Amino acid sequence: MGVDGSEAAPFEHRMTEMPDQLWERWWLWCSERFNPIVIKEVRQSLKSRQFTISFGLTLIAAIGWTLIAVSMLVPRIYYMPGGAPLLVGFFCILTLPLMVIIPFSAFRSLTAETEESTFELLSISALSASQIVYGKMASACLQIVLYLSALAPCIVLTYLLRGVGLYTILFLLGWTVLFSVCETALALLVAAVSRTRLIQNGVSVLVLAGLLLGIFLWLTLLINQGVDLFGSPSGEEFLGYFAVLTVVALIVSLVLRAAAAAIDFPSENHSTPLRRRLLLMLSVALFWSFMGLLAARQGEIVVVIQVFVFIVLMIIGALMTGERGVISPRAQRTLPRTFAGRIFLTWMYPGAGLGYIFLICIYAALIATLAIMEVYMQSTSTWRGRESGLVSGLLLLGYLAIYLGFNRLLMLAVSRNLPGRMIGSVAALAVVLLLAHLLPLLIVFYWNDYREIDYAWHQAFNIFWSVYEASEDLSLDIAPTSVIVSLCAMGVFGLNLLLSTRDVMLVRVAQPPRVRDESQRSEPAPAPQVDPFAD
Amino acid sequence: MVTSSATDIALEDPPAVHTTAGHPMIQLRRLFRFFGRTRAVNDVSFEVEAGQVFGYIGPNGAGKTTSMRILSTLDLPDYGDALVDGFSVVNDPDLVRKRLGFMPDHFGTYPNMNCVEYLDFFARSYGIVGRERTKALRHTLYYTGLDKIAEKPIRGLSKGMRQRLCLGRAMIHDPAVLILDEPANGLDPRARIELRHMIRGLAADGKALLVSSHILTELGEMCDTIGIIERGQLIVSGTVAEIKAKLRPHIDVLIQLVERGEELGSWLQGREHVQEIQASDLVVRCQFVSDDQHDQAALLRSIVDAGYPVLEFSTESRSLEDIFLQITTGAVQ
Repeated sequence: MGVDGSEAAPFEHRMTEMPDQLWERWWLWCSERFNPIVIKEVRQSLKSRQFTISFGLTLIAAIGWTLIAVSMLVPRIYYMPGGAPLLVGFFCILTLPLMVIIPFSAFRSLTAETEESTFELLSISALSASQIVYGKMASACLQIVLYLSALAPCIVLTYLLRGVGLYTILFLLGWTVLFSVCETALALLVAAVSRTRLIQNGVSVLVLAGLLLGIFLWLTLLINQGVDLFGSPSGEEFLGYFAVLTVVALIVSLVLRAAAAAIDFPSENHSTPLRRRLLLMLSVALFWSFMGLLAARQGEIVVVIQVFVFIVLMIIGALMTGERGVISPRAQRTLPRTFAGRIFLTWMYPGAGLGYIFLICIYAALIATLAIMEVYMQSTSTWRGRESGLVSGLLLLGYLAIYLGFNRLLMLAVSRNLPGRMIGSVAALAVVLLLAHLLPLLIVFYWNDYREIDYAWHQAFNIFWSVYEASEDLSLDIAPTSVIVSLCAMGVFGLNLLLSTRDVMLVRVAQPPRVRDESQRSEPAPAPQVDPFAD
Repeated sequence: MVTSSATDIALEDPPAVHTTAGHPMIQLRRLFRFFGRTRAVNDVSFEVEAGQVFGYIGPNGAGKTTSMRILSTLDLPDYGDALVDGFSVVNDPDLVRKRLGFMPDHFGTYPNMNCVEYLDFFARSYGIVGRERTKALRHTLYYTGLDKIAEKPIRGLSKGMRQRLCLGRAMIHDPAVLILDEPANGLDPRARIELRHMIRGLAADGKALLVSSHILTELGEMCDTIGIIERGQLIVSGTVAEIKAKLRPHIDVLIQLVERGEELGSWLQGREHVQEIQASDLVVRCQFVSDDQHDQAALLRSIVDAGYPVLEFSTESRSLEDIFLQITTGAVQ
């Protein structure tokens, strides 16, 4: 019955009828397996003025540049290689949509969902937060493919005109696409984190500025270095590029998951998938670092790895210590069942304290592994390192434990339901770091009548100076620092461990029978058991 | 059974239609939601059965939208829980979403899509595939009357048509529970009547509906039960008749005569169900303490039999607006 009470009239529309042709049915079947967000984004993009204008302008610019460049190169074009200047021009044209328009469109696409009040409608559909974010990312990737295919004939022309190798073209394309994907993922994360309209407006300016800076740096590098930047890489360089690719792919995956966590329902367990990805990303990064260490056999690489991971964990830790610290009953249903599981896996569950201990354990494991590697490699004659790697590593571990632990204790005083708690945690850590570095410096300067000062125990909480002293010169000055940092770190870590016992003591909650039935119903039925020995 | 946290008014059980599972389709259990010091929702509990339309009434800022958002898994309560078909919105939001369609008070559309594309996207979002999807699209387009403008871009739709589209989106996956926040807002009289038919039709199909509106006369006509909320607290809930009866247990009767009004006033003294008599020469007003229409008819018959020249005998019924004005103070937090 219709609104007016009338009986259903025959109503036909191409989208409300199953297609007759077999290939159309097959195509429909395929489209139903796609992420619906991708289909929506494609439908919207094809009708949007922004896409039409930017795509059209890119094509016009490419054709225009081809005509201008070829006419400038004539008649040399017949006997001299002329591909290089043409390629630079095409890349300048291609990088604008790839490194500015597409990432910014992805940012706007997610923020527009809030502006148009459609985000809530997506949230209450059966789509998960990950599907929403990955769908936006996939549609951005689709646009990248479209732009690349549009400019493909022009790129082929540069190869035919000689002067640039296939590797150069492929690497330039590959790096630009990689930057574009990274920028898009970051733009989506920023869009997901900034939820109110006022913040979104302010942040959009910053995002655009960041993207323009990115394209400026990339093009400056390209123009300064010329198209020979990549040349023809050796086997080791290929492996290096592959290593970078795997790590970047995992970072993009982590960033997208973080974006999904930012827009997901609060009672969902966001921490476990994020920490799993983080663990995987760090493991892969460390694997490649160890490979590099084995190949280069230089002590400085150990310190570089320590510092790089320290910075990454400090940023992630600042966010983790701002977590609400509540394991919802929904998350409690998935808590480990066994004793061993509780010992090793509880740290992957939501909660600022658990996250803090998780990070400290990861970093301790890294320092220990590096120390073992260092000892092993020192036993070989080709090692070109010093003995300072372990001391700087232990100092960094101590600083991580002190600063993150102190920040977590600070955040305990802040209401759990305070909006923007994570951003507040990052700000609090920044203030703590600033004070810890500046105050001792200022006090000692004041005591010394503003004259130059040397490193001493007063600078025990100065990360940069202490690590520099530890890695450069193992003098006696660093000894009191090591003692102070170790004692403080143990104290702060111990206190945090004690305060986390409440989270550790939580036990698994049984799934209600109706929920269990419902979950079983949605799972595919198991294949019938066939007895191979039956007649 | 409709329960209320306002225990001063005891309500009888309305005729309830239970689901096969034997639990109400919507259940709010001591729900609290604070925004700073403001108690947006303060200890609200009620239940809605399958096939019922529950009208949620309250002044602006009373907590209607907040509790509806919690029910729709868009917000978390600070305390208490809300269940949809027995599933908690806090612990099992994914299962709740399968069973629930929410129409917020804002449109939430993609302007450069057309109606059928918009509905198709949400059908896909709910995981409806193949023939089920085409069937759902056909049914929804026809039911909401959008079939004739299926190809029209959303940006060109009128407000009423957008409301229909949003209702279509909310019901595309055939949910057992529908939550409609101000669905009649800004609609013309014809569209309102059509919306009322739609809502009653959905209830007849066995769906539980929670509808909020400021147009109380319409709610009174389309709702089986109502709940009045103010300053985050549910003041009263039940059927309109029950609430009327509990709030004012008498009917005002007006009798107009050709003559002998004051005499009729004296005659009425001591009669069964009659109290508070005010008589003038031509008009008699009194309160009748019975909602049985046979008793009213019997009184009229006895007056006429007694020879009084009755010109008019009327009862003053109280509208939902009167009830609303009586029990709310208009205070905001």
